[in-house]
Amino acid sequence: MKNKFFFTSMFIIVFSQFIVAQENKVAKALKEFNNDTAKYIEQRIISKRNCYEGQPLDSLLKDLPKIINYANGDSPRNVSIYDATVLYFASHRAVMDKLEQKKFPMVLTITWATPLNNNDLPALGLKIGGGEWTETAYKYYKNKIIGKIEIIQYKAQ
Amino acid sequence: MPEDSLVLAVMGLRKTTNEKYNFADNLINKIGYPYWHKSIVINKVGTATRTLTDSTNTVFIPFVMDIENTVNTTLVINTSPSDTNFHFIADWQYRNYIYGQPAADTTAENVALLFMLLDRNVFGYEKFIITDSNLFSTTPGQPDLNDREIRINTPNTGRISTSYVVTVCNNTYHCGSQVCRGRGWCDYDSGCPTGVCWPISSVCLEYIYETDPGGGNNGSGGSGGSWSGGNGGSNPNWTPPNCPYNQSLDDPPECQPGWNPPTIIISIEDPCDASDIYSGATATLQYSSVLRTTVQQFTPFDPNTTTQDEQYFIVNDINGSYVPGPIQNLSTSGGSMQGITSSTVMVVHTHPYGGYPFPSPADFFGLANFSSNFMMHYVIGYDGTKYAMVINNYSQLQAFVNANPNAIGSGGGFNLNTTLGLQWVTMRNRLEAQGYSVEEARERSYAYIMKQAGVTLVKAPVGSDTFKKIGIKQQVDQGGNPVVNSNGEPLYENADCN
Repeated sequence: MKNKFFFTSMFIIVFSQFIVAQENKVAKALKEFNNDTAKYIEQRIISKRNCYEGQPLDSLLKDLPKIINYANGDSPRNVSIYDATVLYFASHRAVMDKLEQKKFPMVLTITWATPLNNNDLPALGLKIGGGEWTETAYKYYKNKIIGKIEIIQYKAQ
Repeated sequence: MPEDSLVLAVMGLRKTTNEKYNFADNLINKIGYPYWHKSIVINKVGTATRTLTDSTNTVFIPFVMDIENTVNTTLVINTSPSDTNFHFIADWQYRNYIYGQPAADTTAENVALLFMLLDRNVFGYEKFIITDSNLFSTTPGQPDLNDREIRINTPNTGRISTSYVVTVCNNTYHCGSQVCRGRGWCDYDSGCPTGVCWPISSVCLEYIYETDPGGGNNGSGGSGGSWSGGNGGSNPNWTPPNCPYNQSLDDPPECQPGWNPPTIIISIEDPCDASDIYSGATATLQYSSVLRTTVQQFTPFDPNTTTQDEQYFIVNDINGSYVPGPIQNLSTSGGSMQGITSSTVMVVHTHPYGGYPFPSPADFFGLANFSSNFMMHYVIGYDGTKYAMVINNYSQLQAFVNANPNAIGSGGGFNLNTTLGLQWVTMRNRLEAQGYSVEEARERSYAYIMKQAGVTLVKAPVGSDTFKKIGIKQQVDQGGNPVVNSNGEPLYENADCN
């Protein structure tokens, strides 16, 4: 029991250090863009989206600012699958406000290379629709393969 | 309609030149519709009564895109007894003017204020948050840390005044014991660990500003916007300005105004208004009088398969009677219904096991393909629930669908990479986070989106043939203020007809 607790604690510490290291790296990169997340996503992430597409999500996550929430799409004719997930870099409220103002809504949409099965999620304690971006969510999604990375394009709609 | 004779004259000028040069469609696509009746008219000689023979008059006509909540461009028209000139100014072009003191002639502040006044005329905003730290920067405070807002007071000399008393305030916000950036920053963008920023102080100064960008220089940068003559025979320039900055970016900050209107407060929605009651009643009536017998002939739902074909029938208006057609099959993945004409008033289709019992976004958008005679589309769910999407406002539906052309994904759900898809999925997750089941969160967030399109979703629960409207609305307290959770997220509640 003690050992289990020790290993769990070690994992959490190691994971936290890993996250902190990644955040520092992204924070530095963001500074180059005057902490303008929209510019950073446009010019640093979207411009080299080819490098991430076809790769596990983790390859993208290491370059992303802090994710607050995520949301999975749905497939009305097949309740078991979803083909896209939205990563939120701001609160739901901020995202809705920015949509109203037609500004960059601080989200990135990932379309998966193959649809994911949402029956996997409840057993892990994850909600089918998504929720807060937690360590559990990170562990589940990090190896999923990215099909496409997109941002909202107002003019294209 | 505009009452001012000068605005009427300008409308006439626009009409005659459009007949000649046909520019109106381009203009509407680019900057939206003119709000003629919300124009600002300024008389340079300062008399309160004037006619078209006045020495010089300036009219500022606001243009607003269909789904936006701010004025993005103004058409400035100068008239004198001998000539009429006009040009466009876009909201971002204030940056081309000198940022200056209130007393200076035609500053960035003048232009910004002009747009705020137009926003006030069109939308009723009295207050704006300044996002450009250089604007109105003579007020004390720390622009990077504080939220600066501007309030426009009622002019003391009536509609044609060029001077306005403006209050510029520096508001300080705290997140716990820590000073943080204000609205639009720490309380919204996760910079505040507790999720909520509280205003603790407000230092305000009053200025008198002149709004006269029409007579100043035209600024630099951007294309379009040069003065054109309306009396001559040459093609006048009806091209609004193009923002020249970093076009590779979808939303370059340099092409945005340096101020925002306040966050829109959602009006208190009647959870069951007249159109909702009508929708439930008509769906119930038509179901029992026209549809029920045919619905009972659908192939029973098979719980052991997720590949059962969908079935449907259409109902046509034949000499004033609603006549159901034969039951036909669609594939498992849906498909096109056959035999739809302008006489089709209703359709009914099934949702077998494997999918959702309620109408999909593709079903909802498909409503726009029917003629204006079409009334409602029923969905019979495998679990025994029945739904109907009732069209309350056909033109609103058409406008909504046209404004969201890529909203439906290949699987019949919302495309998350569109504004509508993101609004929907965010709303659904808000509901789930609030404790709604994933199915109910989906169903109600669909209903919420449909309502924006003039469509009411009504539902008959298992064992009932009575349809009633379902929906959600934002919770408000007794003072009409939105109720939020500890993270500042608005809370929602059911908005059903009982």
